Amino acid sequence: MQRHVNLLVGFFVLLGLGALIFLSLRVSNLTESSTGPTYAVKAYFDDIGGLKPRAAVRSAGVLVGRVREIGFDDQRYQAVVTIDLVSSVRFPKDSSAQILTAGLLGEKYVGLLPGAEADSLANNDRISMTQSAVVLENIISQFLYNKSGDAGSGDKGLK
Amino acid sequence: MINAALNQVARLGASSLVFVEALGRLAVLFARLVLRLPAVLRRPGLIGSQIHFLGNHSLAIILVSGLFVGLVLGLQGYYTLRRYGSEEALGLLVALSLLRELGPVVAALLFAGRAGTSLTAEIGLMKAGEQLSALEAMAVDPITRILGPRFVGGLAAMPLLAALFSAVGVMGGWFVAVVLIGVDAGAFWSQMSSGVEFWDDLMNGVIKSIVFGLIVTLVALYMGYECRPTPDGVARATTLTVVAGSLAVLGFDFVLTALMFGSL
Amino acid sequence: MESSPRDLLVQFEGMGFAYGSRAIIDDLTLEVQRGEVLAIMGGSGVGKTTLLKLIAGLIAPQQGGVRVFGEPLSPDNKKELFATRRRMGLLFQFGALFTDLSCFENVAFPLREHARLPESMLRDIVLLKLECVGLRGAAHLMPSEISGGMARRVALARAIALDPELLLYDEPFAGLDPISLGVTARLIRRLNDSLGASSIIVTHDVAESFEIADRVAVLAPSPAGARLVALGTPQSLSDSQDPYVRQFLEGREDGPVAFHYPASSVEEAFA
Repeated sequence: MQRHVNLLVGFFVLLGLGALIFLSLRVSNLTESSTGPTYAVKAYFDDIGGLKPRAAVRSAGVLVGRVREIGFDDQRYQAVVTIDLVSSVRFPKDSSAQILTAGLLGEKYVGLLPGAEADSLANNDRISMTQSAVVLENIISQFLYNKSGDAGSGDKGLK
Repeated sequence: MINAALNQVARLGASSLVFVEALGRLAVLFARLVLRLPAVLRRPGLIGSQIHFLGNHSLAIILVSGLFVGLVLGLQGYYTLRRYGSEEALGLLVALSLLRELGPVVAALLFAGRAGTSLTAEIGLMKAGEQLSALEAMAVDPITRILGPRFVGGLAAMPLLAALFSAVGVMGGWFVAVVLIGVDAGAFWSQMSSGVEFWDDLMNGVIKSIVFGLIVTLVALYMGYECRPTPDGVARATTLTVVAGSLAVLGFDFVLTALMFGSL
Repeated sequence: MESSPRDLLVQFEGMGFAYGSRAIIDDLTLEVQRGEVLAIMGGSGVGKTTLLKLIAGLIAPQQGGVRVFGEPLSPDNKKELFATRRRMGLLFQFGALFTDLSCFENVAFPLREHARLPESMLRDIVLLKLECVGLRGAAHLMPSEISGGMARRVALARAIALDPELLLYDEPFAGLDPISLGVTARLIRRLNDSLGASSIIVTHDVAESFEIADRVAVLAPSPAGARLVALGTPQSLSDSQDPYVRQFLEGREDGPVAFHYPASSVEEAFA
């Protein structure tokens, strides 16, 4: 009788652990984020938008690193983003970094465009060419500004 | 008339004191359980029986409820996300809802109702039948022999049940989304697995379920141990287990959520 | 009769116990000798069960002291208390068997908890104890499957599992049919003698206890708590002239325990 109970309990525990493993591997991003050695690279941005630490760093759409920390440089009045790149991937020294949005309302991530130089970025190097995040309010005000410009100069059909 | 009002205030004060006293006794029981833990852990057979009693016997309700919650999440999530053209994020929605909140909380509420009441009734009836006094008279400590294994069993079973609830829920969501509605399976899983964080979402949910397991089991044991040893005393105690346990779970859920997810 | 301290298993010394503001027992001095069966009698609710709880250390007296096996009880020193309790067997009023264990497992319980025995030896001891009470054949049954009288006998087997030196019985005859009554009474006496133990029976059953007891104590209720009004052999009690003892033994409806609950006079009520 006791053995019967032990078997059932063992089965239950296995089932529960199995569920946890399923959740860890298939549901969460555990496998994605298990990277090996990394090297750090800095990039300065005028506006990082909603970029958060641990955000993805992708090149050609493939995950190549993670944002480690985001700080503020009060000499240049710019955001300084520290990125951990996977050691097995090298980028030319003149590569550029952009802050992009995943999907229409998705999270912000960093996109890396490779440059053309022969030398590669090393640990603690700086990415010099950056493009800030697209902020929605700026686009809207730009749009309205353009629209009002059109209305003023030509077409009077806009009511 | 002033007297009547003053009487009400006095009664309120008195019942607050009773509540505070009960809280104190609960804390004392918790301390006694923790102190006796080494002795309890030396009897794995007893703990195993309790995991069977509390865990295995709750499997049916947890799995079925998890499935239904997952199905509903898939359905409701789809209707809402479709408005913004983001149906592909359905997998992410279902997974996050379950892992962060619904898995630990609903599983804990169900656990309080099913396993918690069994615990309370069992201990209360043992108290009424003088079995606890008999144990003491036989130089056996009821805390170590009866309450301890149940405490450890509940604590061990609860996270497993919550994980099962979430896993089955995700499958339910998948079924509605991919099989019934026709959302792209690849998008469903990839959006989910890239958006669900192992530490921030999954492990926080596990931590929540451990805390909830502790609360529900402790409340259930307390109500049974302290109830009046009469039939209606036991009945009141089981009701209180569900009410107090559920409220405590929901209250702690708020605190834990604020602590864990507030900074993200 | 002089008895060495080792032969006095239980001693109450001027013991007083109150439950909150309600006085239960007042200034009790009583000794129980080795090998004797003592019956403690008195009306319902007078405090007899309280005495057993005091001996078992489940509660502590407000005044005076309780000595068990020659040593005062120390409710705070759990280890000593548990060691003392292992030398006692306590039989609760309705058996208090563990309902989720079989009869065999119930009797085996104290053995499993306090002794490390090989399983075959444990089995032999349990079956022997059950044989003493005549229930070896019912070892595999659950408490819910046996009658109340049988349950009490199983509880008795459990109480003697560790061969205690002191046996405490709380109303062992309550609610039993005549056959079970006789069986239980003779079992108590026989076990007491074969174990060389002392037994304290709390009861209000006069006939059976007078049959098997060496001495009888009678507690009478009083506003300051129950008092010991008679102590002696059954014979000396039958000859006693104390009004409470007489009312108790003969079952008189009126005496020190009044028939009428305090009320206004008849003239006032029916005027």
